Amino acid sequence: MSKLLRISFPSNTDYLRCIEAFFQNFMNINGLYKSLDANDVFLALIEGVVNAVKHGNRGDTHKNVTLTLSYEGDLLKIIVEDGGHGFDPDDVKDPTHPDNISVPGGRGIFLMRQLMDGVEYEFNDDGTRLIMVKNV
Amino acid sequence: MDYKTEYSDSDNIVAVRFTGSINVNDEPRIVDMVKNEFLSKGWIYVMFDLSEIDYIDSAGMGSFLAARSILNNRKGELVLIKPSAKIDKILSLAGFNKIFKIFYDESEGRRRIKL
Repeated sequence: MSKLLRISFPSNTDYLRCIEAFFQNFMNINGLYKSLDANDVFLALIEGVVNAVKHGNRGDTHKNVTLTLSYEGDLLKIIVEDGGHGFDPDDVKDPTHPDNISVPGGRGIFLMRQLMDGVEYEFNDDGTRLIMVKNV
Repeated sequence: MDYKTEYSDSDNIVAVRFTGSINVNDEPRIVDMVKNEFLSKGWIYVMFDLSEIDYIDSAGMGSFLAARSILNNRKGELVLIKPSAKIDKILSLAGFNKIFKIFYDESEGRRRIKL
């Protein structure tokens, strides 16, 4: 049976504490703390949410970000949706390369890819959808 | 994010003891702290104590780079001390172990921050 939890919130990073509580509840309800590294998953989630707020919706609090967590079989799935018009995920530079390592920004997607087992973006007329999965 | 500062007149080093999480909301506070609390009073050697940090995101790490750059421009230095295992892992993934001086013992950090 799929266990799914969804929250929608205005594009403001002040909601990060709500997101943290939401994530912790989901992990507790599904008994996932003993099965995987919650720190890795939570950091990837935060990076995805912050990107949606700042870059996808450009901090427009009239636009919402929707976060969905689901757990089915052996797969934890995180979906982050915003109203942005997308970007080229393949254009993300390696922040650990000597040319980029001192640049303050540009580490979010890199970290998501390092911490999760799958990271994909979907773009359509309604906005951008980030889908991350972690094997449990 | 909360923090306490400890100024040591004996070695001219200020230690910042962070607690909680360091995320995108803390980015301006960290840069402002270095500029207006430390540099304005002549403190150019700074240690960030990460032992009580729950998590740090990429924006938080970016603020460390900005803070270090500000201090380096005044011939100072920023070092990171006592990261927990989970924080150390994230710093390494982001390549920070290649560009920051990271010490697991505070006294070693104090000895080597000016080298």
